[in-house]
Order: sequence, then structure tokens, then C-alpha cells
Amino acid sequence: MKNLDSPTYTLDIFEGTLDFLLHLIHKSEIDIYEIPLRKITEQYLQRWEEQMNPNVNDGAEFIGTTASLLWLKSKMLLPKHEQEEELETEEDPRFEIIHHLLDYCRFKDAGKELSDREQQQGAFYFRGMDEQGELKKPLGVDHLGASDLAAIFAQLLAKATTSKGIIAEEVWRVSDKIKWVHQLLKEGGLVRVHLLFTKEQCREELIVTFLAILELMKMGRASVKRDSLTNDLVVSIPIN
Amino acid sequence: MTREINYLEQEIETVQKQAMHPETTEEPLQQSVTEEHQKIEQHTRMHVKKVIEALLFATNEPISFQKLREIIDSIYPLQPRLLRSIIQDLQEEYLSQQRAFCLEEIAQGYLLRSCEEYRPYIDLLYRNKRGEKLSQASAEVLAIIAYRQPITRPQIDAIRGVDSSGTLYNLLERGLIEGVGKLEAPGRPTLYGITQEFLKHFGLRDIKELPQLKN
Repeated sequence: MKNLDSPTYTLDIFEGTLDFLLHLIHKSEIDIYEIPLRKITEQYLQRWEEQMNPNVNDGAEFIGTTASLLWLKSKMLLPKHEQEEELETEEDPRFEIIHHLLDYCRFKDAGKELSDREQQQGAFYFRGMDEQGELKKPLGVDHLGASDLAAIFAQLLAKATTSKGIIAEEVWRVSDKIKWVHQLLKEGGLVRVHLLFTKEQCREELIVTFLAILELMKMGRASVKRDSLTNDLVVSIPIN
Repeated sequence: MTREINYLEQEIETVQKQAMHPETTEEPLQQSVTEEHQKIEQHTRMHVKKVIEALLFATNEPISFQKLREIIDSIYPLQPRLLRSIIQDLQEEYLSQQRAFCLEEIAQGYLLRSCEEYRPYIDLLYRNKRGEKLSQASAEVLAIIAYRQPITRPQIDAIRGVDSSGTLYNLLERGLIEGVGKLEAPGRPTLYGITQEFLKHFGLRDIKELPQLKN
């Protein structure tokens, strides 16, 4: 058996405890089904002691995994007849962790294969690659800060302080307003925000219209920008 | 040219036959009708082929067979089998003419793609504009989703033993994965699956083209 008390390795290389466990297994070139639990647990504890900045999350994970390892070991140490009895009702206690490791292994390999494939595919170009080279930015809201949106809404509500003299209550639906705004966009390509919100509208209608615009932005069907010339806010159809 | 000469020869033959055996005028007439049909079909084929080429030229997203059929049906109603054979014709034409691009079937649609040998030149064209490669973590999460979709973030985390939300967000931004629903469970976590963009990025016709998981 190789000497496992080897030079230290930094935790940053590993994606987590599973990765680390895998590394240890590979390092000692043992069969994954024959994990020498004691040695590995020792390694774990040693690593844990060496860690410079113990972090609560990492710590909890390490403790968790070490505990499972010790549990497994203790199970294996149980007197044989008891163990046999238990094995009839339970599966091999190591099964879970091995299964877990195997799964992890497979996906690690699959990930590597995807990376390789991506590399190969780099040889091919489609039409209009320059548009796709940039990462697509999320629409609309990035152009405005939260304070901008809050300011708009405050303005709108201020407009609506005068109540309308209608006796019958009208129900304003966001879906209706979405259709309305979308229609305006289709016709004109863009709409000035202050035209969507007028003095005649009551508070509910304003709110519903505002929600409709936000919903359209979320769906990626509209984006809101500030017109540099007039300093007006403009709703437009995003260019994909 | 050869075809036309053949037709011409056949016509001469037919006329001679007619002259010699006036009773047998029925048969040769039918024959020339079929020839006419063949000529028209040939002409239609050519035109449809060009239409397909134009459509492929004008797009940068894969065009599905359905869409192609929809468009072409408006002028030439065609049997799906015939349309497929015309597409294949075009594909083979590009190959035999050794064009710098190929007609490929990717992401459940048809698309033009440059041939491998010209990569160094196009690379120079897009010197800095190529998107970033996937990180190891991203590739792993992507693999998990591709093979186990639809799957939730907690399930992905359980496989990897680490928190994958950052990687997931990244993949969402790149349009390689998307939310495809919610799991009926406490918290109603989002289920993730791969997108058409994923298929296009990896040059796959559909998800079945992915190699089998090992072990």
C-alpha cells in the first residue's frame, strides 16, 4: 500500500468533499469498492487540521463526511453474525457512498467529454457568429436602476391622486394591459412611457399598466430605456 | 445537356414509331406525357432546391423540417419524402462541389456550417469575439442536466456535493439551459432542461445523439 501521508494539497482544487475523496482513492490506486476507511478518515482529519481558515460551511461538510466514514467503519467492525443479520434487511452500508461516488465520477467524465466536444465544435462557424459571441444581457431592467423604477412609479401615483367620477368599478387586468402595450409596440415599434400613463387613469389602472410593462420585460418582449435626447423613458421591442 | 439529347432521341424515336405504326399512337403519347412530367418535376426540384438554399442563407438559427415544408408548401405542395430527398440533394451538391460550407442537421433543424479546414481563417475574423469556453464546473452541471433532465437544483447539488446555483445562473444566462417546470414538492423547486442553443453549441441533432453515460 502506498504511503498516504503525502504532501498537502490545497482545498481550492477540489470542488468539494466528494472530489477530495475521489482524489484520495485515485492517489492510493485502490479499487473504489475497497475503500480503506481508516486511512481515508485519517487523511480527512489531517487535512482538516491543516486548514488555515476554517469556514463554517466547509467545516460542517467535512464533519458530515467524516462522520459518515466513521459510521461506515464502525458498521464494518461489528461482530459478524450481527452484521449478517443486518445485511439481510439493509444493503451494504458502503453502497450508498460508493453509489454516490460512482455517480459523481460518471458526471465528471461526462462533463469532460462535453468540454472536449465543445472544443471540437469550435472548428465550425454558423452564420452571424458575431452576434452570438457576446453574452446575452438580461433585458430591460439593467438599463435602469431600482431607484429609477421607483421614481417612475412614484411619479405615476402622484398623477393619479385625482380620483375619477365613475360609480361602476372597473376591473383592470394585467393580461389585458399586456396585450394593449404589446399591440402598441407592434404598431409603432416603441412607445414613450408617459403616454402609457395618463392623468385620466385611476390608481388601479396605473398599477396594472406598470405591472404589465414589468411582466413584458421579464418575458423579454419589451425593454425600457432612457432616450438620451429627450430624457424620456421609452418602451421598445428588444433587438435580439 | 445529355438529358436533353436523350429526350430528343426519344422524341425522334417516338415520331418514327408513330409514322410506322399509326395504331400505336396511344402508347408513345403517354410516354411523352411522362417525359413532360419528368421535365416539370426536374424544374420544380431545381427551384425548390434554390429556395431552400436561400432560406438557409438568410437564417442563423436552425430551420426545422416542418418550417421548411410550411414555407415551400405555399408554392409547391410536396410530399415530405420528396422534400427530404431534395434537401439531401443540396447537401450532397455542396459536398461534391467542395464548398467551404456544409448543410448540416443540428438542433432539430437544418443549418449551414463552415467546413473544418477554414477554421483558422474564420478564427482571425472573430479574433476576440468568440464566447468563453465552459468551466469544468459548468460542464459537469450541464452534463448532469443533459442526462438527467428534468432535474432540480437540490438534486444537482446532491450529486456534486457542492452548491451549484452560481453555475446554474451562468448556464441560464448563456441560454444553454432553461426552466422547464416545477417539481410538485415542498418549495416547488424549478426543473431544468437543456435548450436548442445547447444542441446548437455542441453540434448535436438532438439529445439522443449524446454518447451513453459510462459505467
